[in-house]
Formats: sequence, structure tokens, C-alpha cells
Amino acid sequence: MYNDIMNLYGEYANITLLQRYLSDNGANVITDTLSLYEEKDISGYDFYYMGSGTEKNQKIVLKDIEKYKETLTKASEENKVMLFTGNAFEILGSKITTADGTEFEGLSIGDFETSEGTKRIVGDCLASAEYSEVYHIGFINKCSVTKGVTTPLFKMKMGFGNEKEGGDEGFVKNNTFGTHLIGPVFVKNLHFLNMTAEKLGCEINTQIQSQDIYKYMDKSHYNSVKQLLERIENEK
Amino acid sequence: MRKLAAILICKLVRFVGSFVGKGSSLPGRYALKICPDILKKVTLPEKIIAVTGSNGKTSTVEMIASVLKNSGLKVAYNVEGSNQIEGVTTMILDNCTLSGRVKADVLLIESDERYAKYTFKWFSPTYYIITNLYRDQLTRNGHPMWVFDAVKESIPDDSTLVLNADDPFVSLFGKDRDNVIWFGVDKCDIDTEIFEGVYNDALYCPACHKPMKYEYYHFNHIGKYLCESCGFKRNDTQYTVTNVDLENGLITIDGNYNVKLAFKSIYNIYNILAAFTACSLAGVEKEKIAALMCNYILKNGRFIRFTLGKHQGTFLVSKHENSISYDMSFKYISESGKVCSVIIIVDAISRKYFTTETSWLWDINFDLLGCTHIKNIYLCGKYCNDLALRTEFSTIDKSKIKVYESIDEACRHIRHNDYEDLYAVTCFSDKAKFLSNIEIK
Repeated sequence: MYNDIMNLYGEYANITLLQRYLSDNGANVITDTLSLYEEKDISGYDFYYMGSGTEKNQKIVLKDIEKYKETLTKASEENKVMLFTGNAFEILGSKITTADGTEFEGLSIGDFETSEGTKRIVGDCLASAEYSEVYHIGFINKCSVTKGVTTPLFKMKMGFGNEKEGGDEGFVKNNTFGTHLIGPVFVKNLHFLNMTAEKLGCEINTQIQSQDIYKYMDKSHYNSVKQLLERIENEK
Repeated sequence: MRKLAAILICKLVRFVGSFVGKGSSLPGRYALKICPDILKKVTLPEKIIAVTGSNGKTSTVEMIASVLKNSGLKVAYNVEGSNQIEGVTTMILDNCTLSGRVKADVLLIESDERYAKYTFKWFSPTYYIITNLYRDQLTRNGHPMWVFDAVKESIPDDSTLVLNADDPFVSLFGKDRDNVIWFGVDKCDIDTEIFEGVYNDALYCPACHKPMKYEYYHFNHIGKYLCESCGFKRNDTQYTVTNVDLENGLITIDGNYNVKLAFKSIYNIYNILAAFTACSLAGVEKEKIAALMCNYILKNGRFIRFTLGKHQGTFLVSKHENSISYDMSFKYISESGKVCSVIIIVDAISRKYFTTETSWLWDINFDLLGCTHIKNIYLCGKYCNDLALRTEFSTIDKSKIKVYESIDEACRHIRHNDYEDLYAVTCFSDKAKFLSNIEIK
């Protein structure tokens, strides 16, 4: 969704990878896009995705997405899989307040609020989630704090969570996932990609993971985890 | 009194630092501690030229300085590229008399785009050049529009802006402003009607956010644009590259002045044009500028020729976390047409800070390397697997990809095998690791 303006950090690759993973596991995948200002029936899809945008573009999307509020809320309630990464995650909440105090209404799928500030919060992340013992690698690049999430997705071992350094990060409700991690989060987190594919009802053939691309993903994940853990150790 | 103390301390620390090889920002930092408004208290030359933007600052400043100096003007500038307020302060005080007068005809400043607002709070550049706004070091900079807001805050009302008309984001600084001078490149052979990059940040008008149209693209979002909704469009230019002949390495400025290119890249053309504009505004005759710029070879080490075994090599220093700079290097290789191999190194993403963030690799157009004259592509460094994964989703033939975590090992392999031309693409942060393996010409 809004891939034309919510694609600030190479987020398109999340869809590229998911599509590849599902196909490699024998699924027939059709990908569709929704552009800004487009009028379209977006009900009936199995998976909805939105990536990061500039603060300005996020506000433009907030206005445009109003017309889909009902459809998306229903999709979330019906356990359709939804992933909103970067500041798209904030759109799932009830309200976003800009640094100058202007308020924007969100989709209200989650009962949380976001306030933007004038400082940029950037940094590498190591995060754990309930569904897997393997660390998630990522990067936070935002200028906001999000308050009121009672069902977070991640616990941060390193990096800024929803409200503070460390602590909880992201949001889960039904099969709707939100996280401030930016960019192609699937690239370094094969287990996250795998979980998403399973939620989509895909039967996973573990043998395909011997293919080059999954080996690269695995090694890339290993390298980053190693470096980040070393860094935590050095900073102690 | 504080002023004198600040100048003395700065000169002293600078003097001592020059023996121990200490950075160029420390003296300025001390001076600013002693006298925070020192930049307001010193007497600056009548002409102050500032350059900021995502890419091309250092090269542009180097060329301006060279032309001005060769035209008999005395120029003070931050030659080491230390471009935040501390570095600028060091440079200014270093060029000051003890009474606080800068001994130069022209003060030339390369300024960091996010921190320019702290420097230009104290004085206004006569001419303020903004080269471009790209996705660059987003782990530090947030995103281009975040940088846009920071640059906007830095622009003094009384400065004459010198803007790249072909970049819609840069052009937005000149909207509804009188004192603007525009430079740009006319329609030329390298243009495309269809957008060719991986992402397009200018799909929508930066002024009104309605869809924007392009008559042509030079590269990425640089080209001739028009918003039919609010009328925002590429401005007519006062300084113009009117003809580009990349094959013969020749450009024509303002229909009259030919400049021979030492490095045949559109990138280089924008740097030359920005420098040409600045020098002309500083009072040098156009004919003289063009003559001085012919075949100018940058001394900042961003373009190096080398040999590795029997391989003749060209080192294209690019910037990690800056997809356009990679696109430019890849384009250069793809247009070379001669059989060659490519080595790409991503080992330390930055030399200034730590990160393992590699999402920028997905913004690079790797399809540019999908051409038949490329024999092998060596992917090296700590992030070789991130690179390899990225190339899996490109038009590059998989059999050409060789993955080596060790740069030395890859270089050993290349040295002892074959003799085709070699292009090396990496960032300053990883440059030395490669240079230790090759023979520089």
C-alpha cells in the first residue's frame, strides 16, 4: 500500500522477498499495489503491507487512507495478515500529533498514540519476540514516541523501543503487526519472513532454505547479530 | 579580549595538532568555547561562497578554490573537508590576523547540510550554493526531507541562493524568492523519458504533493519537471550546460565555453557547472574559468587509476549509504563497453560511526551491472552476503558473482587470474583496505 511514497528505505524489498519465499514454497502469489489518490476496492486480500515515509508523506497517506478505514479494520479483525513497518506502524494507532501540536487521526486498529518531536532517533536494533528465540536485526529511524501499546511485538535488547531506549517495541493484534524497524526487515530475518508466510497459511518446505538466497540471508543475520552483541559487550 | 584569546588558542591548538596529526575541528571547538560568537566578531572578506548539498560538495569546493587561486585571488577554504561549525571556525581563525581580519579575497566554505544552520547563524554567505538533495547516510540524516528542513533553516534572507534547477527539492528553496541564481543542464543525449532508478522520490510535487510530470530525466530525480496542479516547475537557468558529449568527454557551458572532462560522468558535469557558476559570480571571466577547468583532475582521491597483477584498474570511490553515488559508478562501468570485472567492497559502512544497516543496498540499481561486457563481479567485506543477496534480485547473471568475505583473498585471486580491466567500487571507509592490495599509477 502506498508503495509510491511509503518506500523510504528500500521497503519494496519486503514484498520482493515475501513473494519469492512464498513461490519457492509452492504458493501462487499475486501482488497488487495501491497508489496515492487511487480509488480501489482493497477488500479480500490475504496480506497488507506498508513501509516508511517522510513525516509529511505519512500525513498525506493518513488523509488518503481514511476511505479504507472500515475495510482495513475488518481485515484486521478477520485475522488477515498485515505488516506496517517504520512510521507506517503509527498509522495503525488512534492518533499522531506532530511536533507543532497538529493532530491527525489514525486507523484506530490499535489503541495507541504517537507524538512526533524535533529530534531524530536512529540506531541499530537487536530485538526478541515471543514466537522465536532467534534475535531480530533492524534499524530504527524515527522522530516520535508511541504510547499506549499493551501488546508489543518485540522486546529490545538494543535500540529504542516504542517509548524509550530498550523496552517494548511495535504492536501485535490478531495477525496485524506493526514495528518501527525500517527497510527490508525480511532480508536479515528469515525467521520473521517464515512466520509471516506461515500466518499466510503457506506450508513451509525447509529444504528450500539450502538455496543461495536463504544462505545469504542466514549469514547476513549471523554477521549482524555477532557484531551487535560484541558492541553491547564492549559498551558494558 | 575573548576574541583575541579565541584566535590565539585556535592557532596554537592548530599548530600543535599539525604535529600529532589531530583533526581540523578541535581548534575551532576550543575557540567557540572561549568566544561563542567569534564568527560574528571577525572581519570576513566581502565575498563569501558557501556550498552545501548531499553529493559533490568537496569536489565542487576544490574546483572553485583552484580556479580562483589560479585567477590571482587569495582564497581561504576548508581544504580538509571538516565542514561543521567547528571545522569552519578553525579554517576562518587560521586565516585571520590577530586583530580578527580574514586575510583572503574570497572565503569559501564547504558546509555540512544538517549543521549549516549553526554556521550561518553568525554571518551570511554572499552566494549560497546548494548542489542536490539525495538519500544519503540516512542512518545519520533521517531522510532527504528531514535534511531539507535543516538546510532551509540555515538560509539567511540576504544571501543570494545559487540552486540546481534540475533538482526539484533544491528548487523548492528558491520558490517565491527573488535573490536566486539558477544553474542546470539542458536536454542532452544521456536523458531518458522513463524513470530508470529503483525509487523515485519526486513522483509527487514537493510543493503541493500532486503528481509531477517529467519531460526528461538526466538521472534519478534530476531533470525537467512540471507540476500541472500548482505550476511548480524547473526554472530557466542563468548558467547552463548547453551541450554534453560524454563520448568525447566535452561539455559546452552557456553555448560558448567548452570544458574537457577528465572524468566522463554526469556527476562530474554538475560539479563543474556549480563551480563555473560560483567562479563567474566571484568575478572571474567565463573564458578563463573554462580554460582552467579543462581536464581538471580532482586531488581529493575520488578517482584513481591502478594496476592489480595484469589488470588495469579504475577506482571509483562511491559513498556507502548513498545509492545515487553507486548508481553513478555502475553507470560509468556499464557505459565503458570494454570487457571488465568489478569488485564491490562493503566492509565498514561508515568510518565515523558504527552501523550494520544495509537497506540502502536495495536502493541501488544493480541491473546496471547486468550487461554482457562484465565478466566477474567480486563482492567483498563483512557485508558480502548482504551484497550477494541483493544481486540475486537483479539482472546480473548468477555465474558471474564471486563472494569473498576477505578483501585480500579476493585481490589475490584477481591478481593471479586473467587480465581484463577492473573497476573497484567502494567508500572512503573501505578504501585503504583495497589500496593496500594494489599498485597505484
